Amino acid sequence: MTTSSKTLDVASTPTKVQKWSQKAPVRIAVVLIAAMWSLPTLGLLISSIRQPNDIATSGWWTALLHPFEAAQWTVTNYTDVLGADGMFDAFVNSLIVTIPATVIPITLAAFAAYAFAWMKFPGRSFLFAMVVGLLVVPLQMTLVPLLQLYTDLELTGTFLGVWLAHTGFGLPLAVYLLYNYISQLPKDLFESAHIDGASHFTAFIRLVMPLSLPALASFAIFQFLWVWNDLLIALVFLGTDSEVAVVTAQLNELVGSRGEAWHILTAGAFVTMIVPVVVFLGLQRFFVRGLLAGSVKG
Amino acid sequence: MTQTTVPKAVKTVTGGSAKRWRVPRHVIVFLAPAVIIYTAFMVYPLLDSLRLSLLSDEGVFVGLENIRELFPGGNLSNTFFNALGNNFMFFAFHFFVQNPMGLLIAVLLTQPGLRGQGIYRTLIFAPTLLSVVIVGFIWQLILSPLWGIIETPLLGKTATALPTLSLMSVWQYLGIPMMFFYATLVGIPEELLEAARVDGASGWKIFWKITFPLMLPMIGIISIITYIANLNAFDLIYSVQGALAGPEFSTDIMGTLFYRSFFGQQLQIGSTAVGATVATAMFVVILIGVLVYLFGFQRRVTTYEL
Repeated sequence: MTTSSKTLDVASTPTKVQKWSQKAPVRIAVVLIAAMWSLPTLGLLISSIRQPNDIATSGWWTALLHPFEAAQWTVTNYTDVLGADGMFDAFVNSLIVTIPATVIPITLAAFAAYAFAWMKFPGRSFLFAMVVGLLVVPLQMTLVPLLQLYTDLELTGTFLGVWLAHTGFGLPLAVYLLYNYISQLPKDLFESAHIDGASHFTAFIRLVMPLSLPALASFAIFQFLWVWNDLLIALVFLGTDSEVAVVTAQLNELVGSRGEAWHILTAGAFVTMIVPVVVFLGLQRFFVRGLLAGSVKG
Repeated sequence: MTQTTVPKAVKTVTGGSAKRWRVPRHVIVFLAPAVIIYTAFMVYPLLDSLRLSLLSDEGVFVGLENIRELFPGGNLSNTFFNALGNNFMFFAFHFFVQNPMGLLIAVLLTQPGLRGQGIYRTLIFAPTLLSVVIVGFIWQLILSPLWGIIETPLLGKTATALPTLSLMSVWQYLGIPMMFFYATLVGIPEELLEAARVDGASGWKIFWKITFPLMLPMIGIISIITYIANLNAFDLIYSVQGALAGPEFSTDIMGTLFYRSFFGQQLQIGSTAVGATVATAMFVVILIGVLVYLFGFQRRVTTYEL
């Protein structure tokens, strides 16, 4: 093998310039695309430090033409937002909604996934097929009856109602992803645990949970992002009362005001963006692993 | 794609097996919470929605009357098919623009010798972390007819509103197919490509004869997920154009039609029957697409073990 590649080397090793010109188009294309994808968000950041009047009258790129004119920059948008009535409460509400709505589905799904993977019982395959199959069902199909049920149970506008709703909607995907991972754990692990006298429960707590950490973490990211950024469920089950409105609903209200409150919106959007970004950056390595766990072999 | 082993149902034999597991009790403890919530939030509403679509607003059984309204000749037919058509156009943008671009970028990012891949990946993926409200707002800052880069109000004209919104959505979600394709590409063993290169195949040929067939299963999965997600779409259009999905319903998709029908707005009161019927129609359309995918594609595509 080495000898043949040696003879090839002489003939086909590209010169430095050739190498660079081969890589340049790729690099240029990638840089261009990455720029196109970051510029809009950058525009939001620039807007958030502009004077309120400017935001609604001229494009943010014009501010870059004379970047050293101090008068056009300001941080009052941020101070307004942080002090403003709605936004801080909305931020807290979002946390109140998102954290349990992430923890509960993961816990329930982990138990269920383990049961599907390692416990034998009649009807297992049917039940599993049903759980995964209903991934196809659109959210809207469940809304009508659920709202009626909620109104009867007086759960509308409560946090408990939203936690249950997000749990219900997140379970199919959670069970599917966690099942894929847990079912691939080595069988001998459980066999030796059985021999040592461990019950299912002990095996689950002591073995499965620690080992499934990557899968749990990657689903946690998905669910957290989804719940944090969700608008539809928040609107339908929580509403827009300032006591319970989450950040997305609150921002949506602000956007609707067509210009008067846009300076609050720019800063508010950026402040609320921090949370998902931090969560993502923090758990990033689990993220790609999680993508692979569900669909690609190895 | 990994073939997940579907668990076979096995009758538990007490006392006979080597592992003495108290299976029945544990099964219930482990499964009950999930199954209860799942039944309450997925199974029951699904069946109940189907039931509600067969009733009138007052609860009187009307059979297929509601559904007939959606077909040509019915009162809602124009609205429904407008929404359906718009929804498919919305999907088309994602299928023909977002996914191929995602594939292209993934391929570019896996070219040897490219440094800083992680940064580019994160930058392109970043918009998916944003709420749709923020996405809508970001683009309104750029596209505003008053000061934006283009004078024509793209979001205000019937001909351009839907394409503009579709492209905004593409901008936001491009990172997801890109990540999946990237993960798949990285999983292709280097020896395969190296062997082809040694044999004298050009880069283009390598892509079409080796890389692309290996990626087909993932492309299929991403396509059907795109289909399901887009036919479910609602948030972006609602946030930017409101429940009326203007201008003149040119951005109305099934999600917004459902929301409007069920909750009503200034011009019409909400109707449970119509809402449930639209939701059922959505379900059927999605189901047809999934079946087409399963039987028309997944059965025929070859998955290679790498």
